[in-house]
Amino acid sequence: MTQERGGEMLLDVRDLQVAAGTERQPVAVVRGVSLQVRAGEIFGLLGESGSGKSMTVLAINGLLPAGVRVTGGSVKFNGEELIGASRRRLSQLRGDRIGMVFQDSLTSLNPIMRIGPQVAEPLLLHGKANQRQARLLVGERLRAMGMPDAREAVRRYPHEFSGGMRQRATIATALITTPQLLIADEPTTALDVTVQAQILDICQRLNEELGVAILLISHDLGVLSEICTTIGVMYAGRIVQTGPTRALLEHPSHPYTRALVESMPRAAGTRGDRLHAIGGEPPSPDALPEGCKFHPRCAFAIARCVAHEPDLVVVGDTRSACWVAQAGGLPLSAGGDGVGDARPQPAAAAAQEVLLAAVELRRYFTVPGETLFARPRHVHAVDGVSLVIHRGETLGIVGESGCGKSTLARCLMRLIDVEAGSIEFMGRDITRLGGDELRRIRRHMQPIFQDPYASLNPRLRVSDIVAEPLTVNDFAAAEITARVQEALDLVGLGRGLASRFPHQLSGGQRQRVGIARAIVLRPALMVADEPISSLDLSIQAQIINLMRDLQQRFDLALVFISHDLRIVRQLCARIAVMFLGKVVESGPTEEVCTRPRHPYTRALLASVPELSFDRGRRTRGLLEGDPPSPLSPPSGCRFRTRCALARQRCAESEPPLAGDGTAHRWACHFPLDAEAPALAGEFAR
Amino acid sequence: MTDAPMAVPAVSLPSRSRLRLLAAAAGRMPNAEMAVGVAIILVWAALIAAAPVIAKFDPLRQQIALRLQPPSAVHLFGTDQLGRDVFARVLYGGRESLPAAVAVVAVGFLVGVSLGSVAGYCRGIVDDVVMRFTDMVLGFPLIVLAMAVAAALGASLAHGIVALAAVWWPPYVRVCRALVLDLSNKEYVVASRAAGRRPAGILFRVILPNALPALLVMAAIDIGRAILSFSILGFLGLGAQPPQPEWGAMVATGATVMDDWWVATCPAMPVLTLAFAFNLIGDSIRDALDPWVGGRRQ
Amino acid sequence: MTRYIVRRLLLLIPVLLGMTLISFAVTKAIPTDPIIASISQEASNHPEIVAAYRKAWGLDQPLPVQYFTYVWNLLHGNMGVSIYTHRAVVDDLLDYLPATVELATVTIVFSVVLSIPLGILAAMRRGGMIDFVVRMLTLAGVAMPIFWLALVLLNIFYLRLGWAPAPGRLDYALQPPPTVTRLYIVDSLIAGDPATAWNALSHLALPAFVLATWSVGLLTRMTRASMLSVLPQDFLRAARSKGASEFYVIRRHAAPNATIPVVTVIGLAYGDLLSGALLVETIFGWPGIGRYAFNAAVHVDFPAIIGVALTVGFIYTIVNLAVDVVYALLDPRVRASLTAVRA
Repeated sequence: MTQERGGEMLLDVRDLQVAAGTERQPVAVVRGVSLQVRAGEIFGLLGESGSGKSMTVLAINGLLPAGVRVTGGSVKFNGEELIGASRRRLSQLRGDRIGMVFQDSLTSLNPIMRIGPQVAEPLLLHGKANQRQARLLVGERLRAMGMPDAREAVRRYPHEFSGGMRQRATIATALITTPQLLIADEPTTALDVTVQAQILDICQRLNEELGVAILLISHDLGVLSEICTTIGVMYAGRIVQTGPTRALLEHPSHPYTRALVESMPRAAGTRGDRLHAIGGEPPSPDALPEGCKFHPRCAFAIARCVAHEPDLVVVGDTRSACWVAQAGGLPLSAGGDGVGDARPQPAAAAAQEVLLAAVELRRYFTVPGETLFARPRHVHAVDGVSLVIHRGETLGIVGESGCGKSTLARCLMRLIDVEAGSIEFMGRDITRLGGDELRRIRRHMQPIFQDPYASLNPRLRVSDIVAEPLTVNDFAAAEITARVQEALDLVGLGRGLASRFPHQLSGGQRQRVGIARAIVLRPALMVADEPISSLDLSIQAQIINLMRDLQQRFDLALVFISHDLRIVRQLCARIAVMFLGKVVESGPTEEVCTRPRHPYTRALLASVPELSFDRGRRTRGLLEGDPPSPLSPPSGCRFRTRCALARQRCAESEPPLAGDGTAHRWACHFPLDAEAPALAGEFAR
Repeated sequence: MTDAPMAVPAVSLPSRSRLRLLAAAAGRMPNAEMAVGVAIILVWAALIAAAPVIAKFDPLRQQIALRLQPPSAVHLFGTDQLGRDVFARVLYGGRESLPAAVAVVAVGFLVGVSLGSVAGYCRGIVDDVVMRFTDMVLGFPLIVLAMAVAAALGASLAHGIVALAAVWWPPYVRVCRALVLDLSNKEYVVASRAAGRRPAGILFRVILPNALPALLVMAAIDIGRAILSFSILGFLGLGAQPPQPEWGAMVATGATVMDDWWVATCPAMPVLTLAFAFNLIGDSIRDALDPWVGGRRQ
Repeated sequence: MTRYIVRRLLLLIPVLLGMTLISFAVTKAIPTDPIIASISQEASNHPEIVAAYRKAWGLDQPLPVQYFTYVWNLLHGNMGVSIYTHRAVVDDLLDYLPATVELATVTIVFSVVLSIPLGILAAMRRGGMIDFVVRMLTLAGVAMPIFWLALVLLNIFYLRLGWAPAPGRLDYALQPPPTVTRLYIVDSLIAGDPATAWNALSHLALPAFVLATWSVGLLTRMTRASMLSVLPQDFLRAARSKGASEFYVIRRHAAPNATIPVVTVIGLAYGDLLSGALLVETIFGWPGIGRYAFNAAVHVDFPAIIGVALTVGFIYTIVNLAVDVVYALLDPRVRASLTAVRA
């Protein structure tokens, strides 16, 4: 088991300062960070964008990019000072004593070099092995990481692997010389939830077996809480609170930490609660407020906070930089205290009329055949999906990458055609509709996109962007102006922003513009495809609340597509889980999430990182390997190759989506026991 | 904090843009180079436009007695074998070369962008046909085709323009098509479609306005290449015919009297400096738009 | 991969056919009587000769048949007879092509050897003095009116200084080596005659240098741009995090990635050079197809002009194809994307 406190001091960072920009106009991005990592420990560094967390670890490892430099402080590794050390010495330590893993495994690998030599590089660079020995060791390590066909794999190129396998390879690379410290910068952020669970499990195992200390950076408090012994919370270039995980999360003595903890959608939370959102946005390094950098967003700010920046001192079991906390003015445990109260949810509305009914939708993409005369193959992006959406209802569609949820969204909105099946919307069959008729129908269903940077026309002003649906549909000029004003007000954008261009807005503001554009036509249905995935954590809750408010106010039907089960669980009344083009389980959210019947749903629920203080080996419902290829899905039940309960019948026939007569349906020959506890142990590995 | 949606205070500029500007200042000074390029072009344009006023001699007037005089205060660029003032000839030569170059690029741009946007937007068979046709024309060498046209129709400036314009458009097709293909997948284009825009409207009002800046920059820089190509045609005798002054043709006449260097070199200077200037501007613009400014991704 | 190559080869056919169609159309579009343009003056006064010519070339047939005859002739290597040289155009081209190949090859090899290190160096020292000098020089190279530069250098190095040899592939007194490839340098070496090889090379030097101002300019700029786009990429940082020295990172990771896109440009530049560096060949009296084309233009030798246009067009198109294939061979991602999903 991992120890609560580690061995001797491995990494000692004191008052580290890093600046970007010119000599004359420096911008401080790290403003005095101190942290300690002991041997065998797992230290989690938490922060949003602009907090300086990445720059901190890059500075520690001497890998700052051009134009960014260390301006002060000390970094001691095993007692040896790294700041100012010769490049030669740093190269000796890097890859040998200190290993590093980055967020994007695809761009972190040389695309034209095979995987094997890249994993072997640290060994060869530090003279730890010759070519032959290295090759053997690489194969061994990859196999230990759970990579199938390690012997074959070493000869392949990075792009031929899935994200999860690639990240395993980069972790293997970082650890192949058995370093003392592994620095991992958001290693799982780009991965699917079930794959993320696997990687976190690997990290924890490696920490236990090899004794390697880990410095883990993430913006996801849930991820950190699961495996870290100690956590440091960064905001605006400084650590604002640090301490043992449990103490920090149970008694957060800094308003920012408290707010983050509260704004995390809870597994046990009641659906329909408003999320505790932190107002405002994180400051950018070149426009920091006076005094405590968090005070503009803080519910507890006092006069002293505006004037002076607090130091990091001991408060209770942790160290915190907050005047109010140091004076004992913060309530002890996290709970509702004025930062967005929960509103009582109106009783479930009586069943509304059906707004959209999709039956057996299919959509394929073609891939040219392998040899000259082979027939083209099909990717079954959406393979027989049926669902129903009622007026004013929230439906969540959940799945990992490649499951077809985005394609399904586009099919439902008739932005792409379906090969088979039918779609009925507002009483009309719109499956093959085209031309002007289709355009008339479009007024009643509007999309919200994921990427706030790509979803707005960069050449138009905000007011024109929001007005576009109206101008295109020939609304009167006066009406357009009125509606645009109203929409901007509804989404909380000040009138002054109407004449700005998208590049002048922040991510959260742009997403609001996208929402304003979506509601300006008063559609009956909104389809939101991962609308918050690109946003900062503290902004996400704001947007979710906004969407919920609008949905309730205008009685909109909302289809919310996401890979994040936590959000969907909070926001949506009904849920559908997709896997490889099919719906594997659907029904009322509470029912599906507390008593899942399909093994995949259970695995998803178990994989979602939540605030948990149990860092022992949690049964995570770990799945084996990667999702099967959409090009050649397994016969019968598509999930069977990842399913521990698969039997002969699963390979022979595909299970239909059926239920017990209620709205809860699942597609499994051997569904999980309805009475079994929510997180079962049968997947423990 | 109230329960109402947050009225977010106006943020001055988000962090990314500011850091980018800072890094640009920290890096090099592209603006100086762009200024130099623009200055060169403006100077030549001014000189050429003011030719009737500045040139003291008639470019066609031969004064055999004054032949092959080196540059002096009277004849800034000296005189050629027929005693004509080279400076006047250079300035007047520009009055045809520059507009001709612009004309060629304009035609190439219009044809290329039209074909490219249709190919990129409609895809399918239309795309295949346009691209095959473009490939065919792309393979033909500029000069040889111009020679063929000149051989067939006779050499003149107008025919030179036709010959060049006929093969000038393929690069625009390729670039425009690539841009349109890329932009068509952008989410804001999909949003426009969802809002109910007609396909034609999407192409002309959403996609093309976003593609045009890059294409216009390409065209502006291309003028330099057109000037160079015209001078080559002129050198080969395929452009404006004597006694009309044309930069390339003037270099050709100077070929036989290279010891009197000014006859060949002075007309080559506007070609060299203008092509240089346009390329310099192109580089500066590309650097300014480059997100990898200062070696760091923004 | 093979599927891709075969598909491109198959697609090549309509493109080549299209080019023949274009050149055929041009032939038919000229206002001059093709007979007059193709046979000499006196012959055109004899009706029997004219009629025989008409028949041989199918000029009395309807247009589509004429086109088929034209293509048929092409496939048999018959491009007509040059009015000026009175030889088959194909024979002329075969005579002149090797000289161009030699010139183009020497130029491109020299350019590659110089440009790639220069481009990499300029990119690594971006904003510095080396970068500035390289950028200005290469800009000038690309903007240079080559015909003028050729005249100036010929005047200085041949007429005034006497360093460069007289125009032509060899000294007047020397015999060309026994024909194997018709590339004098290669043939001389095969025949064990290094003196002649050196002589041939020295004749190449000045024209190659002039051409190289353009190709070095182009390739250096491409290499620099490519290197600049590779330098900020994450996998370099990852390599450093493994303990690699800066030199190792450049040599093993950055440079290979940067050079691949440049390969395309090298191929295209080679194609351009092969298309007949017309101006340089004419000014230096180099007997290549560029000079042949120039003579043809001067004498309004239509079959020759069209013959050159078609040949050059073919060469360029095939070079394009080869370049694409080579790129796919070098970059595994491109190989993969060729079998990617088309939505």
